Parts: sequence; C-alpha cells; structure tokens
Amino acid sequence: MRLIEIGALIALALFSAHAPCTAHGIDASVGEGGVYVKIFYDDGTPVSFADVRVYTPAGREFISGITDRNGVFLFVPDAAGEWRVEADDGMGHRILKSIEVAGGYEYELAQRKPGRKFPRLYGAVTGVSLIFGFFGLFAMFSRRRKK
Amino acid sequence: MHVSDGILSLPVLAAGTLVASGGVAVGLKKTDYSQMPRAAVLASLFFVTSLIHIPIGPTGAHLVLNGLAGVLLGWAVFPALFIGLILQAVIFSHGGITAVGVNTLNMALPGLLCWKLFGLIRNKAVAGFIAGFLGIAGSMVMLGASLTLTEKAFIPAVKLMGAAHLPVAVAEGAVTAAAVVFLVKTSPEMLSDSHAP
Repeated sequence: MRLIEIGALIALALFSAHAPCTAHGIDASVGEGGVYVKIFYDDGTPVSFADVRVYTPAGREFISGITDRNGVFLFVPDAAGEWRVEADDGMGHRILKSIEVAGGYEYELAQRKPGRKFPRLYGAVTGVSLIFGFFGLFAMFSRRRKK
Repeated sequence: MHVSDGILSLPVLAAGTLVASGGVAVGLKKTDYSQMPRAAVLASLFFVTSLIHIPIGPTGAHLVLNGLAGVLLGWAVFPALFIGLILQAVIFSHGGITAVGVNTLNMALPGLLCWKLFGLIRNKAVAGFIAGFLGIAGSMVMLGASLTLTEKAFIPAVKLMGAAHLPVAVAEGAVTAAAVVFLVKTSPEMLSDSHAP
C-alpha cells in the first residue's frame, strides 16, 4: 500500500467538497400558510375527496390531488398572478375558480435540528479517518488472533 | 441505490441484516492482518466516491466501485462496504441506518461474485469491465428484489431505476477496467493475492 494511494484518496476527499452533488438523502422543512379552496354543495355539505387541479398563471398544471374530508384543498403558490383551481366531484359537478395571488408565498424553514448536516469536506475527512480507525482495530484483533 | 429508512418491510430488513452480518463476520475472519490497510483504502474509496457527482445528461450519478472493491478484497468486501455504508448513513444521511444491513448485502454480494468471476476470466481488462458492470447491475437486481419482496407495487419503479443505471454500469465498467489494467502494470500482486486460496 503506497503513499501515493493515500495521497490520491485525500485529494479525492478534498475535491469532493467542491463537486456539486444532487442529494441522496432527503429532508423536510415545515411551514405554515398557503391558499386553500373549500368545495361545497349548495346545501353546504362539503365535497369530500373530489378531484382538484391547480394551474399556474402561465397555464401549466401545478398540482393535482383530491380534497380532504372537509372539501378542502391547500396549495402553496410560488408565483404572483391569477391561479386557477378546477374541482370535479366525479358526479357531474365541476367548478373553476380563479384566485388572484399577490406574491409568491415564502414560508419559514423551521430549523428542527440546526446544524445537523455535516459539511461535505468535513464529513469526507471524518469518514475516511473513521474507516482507517476501524480497520486499524480490526487489524489489531486479527493479529492478536494469529498469536 | 442506497435504500433509506422506512421503505423496506421488516422481514426484508431482518433477513438482509442477518445475511450481511454473516458476510461481515466471514469477511473479517478471512482477512489477514496484512490485508486490512487495503480494505481500509477501498472502503474509503467507496465512501468518498459517492460524494463526487458526475453529470450525465440532465441528472447525474456517482461511481460506486463495489465491483472493484470486490475484485481487490474478496470476502473482505463485506466489512469494507459495511463500514463505508454505516458512515455514509450516519454522516451524510445517504441511505437509512436500519437499512445498512440490506444495503451492505445488495452491494457486497455482487462484489463478491465479481471477485469469483474476475479470477476466471483470462483477459484482465475485460474481466475488469465485467466486474464494474456487474457490480452495478448486480446491486440493481438485489435492490429490485428487496423492493419487490417488500411490495409488488415497486415493480415499475424498479424497472425505471434499472434502465437509468445502465449508463452508470457502463461507466463503472470502464473505470474498473482502467483501474485493473493500471494495477496489472504497476502492482499485479494486488490482483493475484486477493485470489490466493
């Protein structure tokens, strides 16, 4: 095992800190706000589990889903303009509602565990160090076993 | 490729962890004191290479190098990838912690098979390519099995993932072949003594 290989590994670890990397783990942040529509019949009963489609001001489909048991469908618009919500109860009733949104909604990222994410460079160095540490221990035990 | 927590069913997780533990135990037992540094180097390579993103078209991927690790380590590929995966999960949330056993099995078993195959193929460059390719392809098969054993509904997703990883498998084959050719020229004993009985 030569020094140049160790050097190459360390160089790789350092290099990796600068390479953009699409995340392989996922995380969630929590917020409040948004726009909701409540779909209901003439007599006030909610239109539960109806199909809903939401269209951006540019006319593209933003999200689709179903209303909850109270006839409510919530979404967080990400642009200003006139959004369109289309709801269909599957029984011949359909509604198209326009919603004027003044600004894109921004919501606070709730820091559940601040600083939980390891910066990549430190993580790489830590990981490699621990790997060598563990294998050093294994080697120690292996040697002792031999004797 | 690294399965996160909460996706696989308990029986799959338990079985995978059990078999992987066996593999790790065998790997540690069979690995001589003098082989440990090599295992550490390949574990580190596996660990670090997952941080290096290679753009492929609109998205990208990262090399896994489980095939190369298998070829150079033999049974020691189990503890090497196990340690690498645990640290990836803990430090970078790259894969779930409960899924470490299954992930180890999914990546180390193909590595082990690549080791066997490598010894059988005369032309080492070709052997290297096949090892790299099968490292990825084998992991995909194992991953597919883990997911479909959990729930049949995963089948279309598995097919999609398999297709998406084909270019990665080819790239990995090329890298492994290059590494093997380099080793044949510089330190051929690294290749032959991992095949010593």
